[in-house]
Amino acid sequence: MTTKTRVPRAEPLNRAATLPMLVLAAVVVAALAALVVTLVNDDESAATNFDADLAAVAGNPLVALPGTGADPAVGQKAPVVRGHGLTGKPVNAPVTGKPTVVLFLAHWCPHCQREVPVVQRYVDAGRVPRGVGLVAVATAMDPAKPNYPPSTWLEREGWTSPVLADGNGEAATAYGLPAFPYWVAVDADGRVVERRTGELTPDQMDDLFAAARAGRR
Amino acid sequence: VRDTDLAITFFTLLTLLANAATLGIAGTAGAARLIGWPGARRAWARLHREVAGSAVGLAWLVAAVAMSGSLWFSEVAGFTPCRLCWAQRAFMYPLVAVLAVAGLTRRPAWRVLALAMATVGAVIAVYHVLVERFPTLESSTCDPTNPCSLVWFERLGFVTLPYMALSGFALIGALLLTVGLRAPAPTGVDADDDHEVADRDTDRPRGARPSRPSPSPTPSDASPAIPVLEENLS
Repeated sequence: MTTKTRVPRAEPLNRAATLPMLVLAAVVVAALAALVVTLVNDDESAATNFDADLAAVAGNPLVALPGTGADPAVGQKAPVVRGHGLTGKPVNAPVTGKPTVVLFLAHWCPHCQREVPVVQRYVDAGRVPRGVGLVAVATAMDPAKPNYPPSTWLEREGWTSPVLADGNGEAATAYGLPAFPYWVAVDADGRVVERRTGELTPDQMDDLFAAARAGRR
Repeated sequence: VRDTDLAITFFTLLTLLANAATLGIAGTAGAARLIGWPGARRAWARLHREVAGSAVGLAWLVAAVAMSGSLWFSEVAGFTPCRLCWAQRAFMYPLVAVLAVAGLTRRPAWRVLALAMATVGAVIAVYHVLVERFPTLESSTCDPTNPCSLVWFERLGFVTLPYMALSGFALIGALLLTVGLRAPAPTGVDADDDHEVADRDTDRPRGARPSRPSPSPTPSDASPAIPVLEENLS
């Protein structure tokens, strides 16, 4: 016996309900896609030992660099920071008995990220005066912030100067760091000649390196 | 770290959906109003008919999701909000409340307020996106604690936190514009059932407290179904 099954006409979808359903579907698809993408690209890179290194600081700390006016730290002995460099070799800042420009960098700071290649080109061009050292201090390290670890960043940028790991930020505090990037020119006697913040142009770097070499006038 | 990655990817995808919706609405509106293509005019009329009823609710959803994402990124992922982040929060978070009231009361004033807040928020977000792209806009140094130029994450080369905020503000604005801002205020007198059909197609949110609608702000208008649209097209 054949009975014709009566197909009930589908209720027209409630218009008011369609849009929220579409939105919900889109959100669910986004969540699933996010999960898949995250599972596929699952590579966590561990920080190198360098980035956990602590530096030892000796000497009296400098007052923080004031925003305007004369820098009261000029002429004072710069604290001596001893630590390890990228290759594990001991690094000092400032270099003992040598005029030195100490450059404090934060891996997450976009100004530092922009400045590092500029400084490296300056070094590569041979513009660092003879007898003057350049030491970078990687500080304000935070694994939660972008571009961590700094060792990977500096290697990627082809950084060739010595780098000191300031794992607990003690060196930055001792040098009175107010902002990044932070430059401190120290003369051969280990006295502060000039302190500056911000991205410097190669010409401004010329002045700073010259000041370190000339010493306090 | 993996949870954070997942959340970033999820909100990036929502951001792209929001961008697509915003561009769709803005493109249709532009083509209908500025160029006046007949197809676009029909599409806009349809969009208005289909979306306007739930637009304020959807805008509320966008604000609520944006607020949840913002709180997740700061409280769970540990991304410290900077000064400009706080300024955007100051507009996004209250939008959740303002849009809720706008959806429930149907008074156009609340929609106007919401649109104004979304606009200001969007302007701040644009500035923040620019600061991320050109850090020297703000200063030549990084504040040692929390500079606004710090880019916590970036996906696809352009999706960052303030870009997400901008996308949220833009979609809220676009959704509000589909409803229009000049819809008649409810009279407060309970409507007879005759108005039900007309009510469905006018530009006020569904599910709102039934009240007697005045059919159109322009009584001479040929089509009372889409008063704002017709007004702007003619």
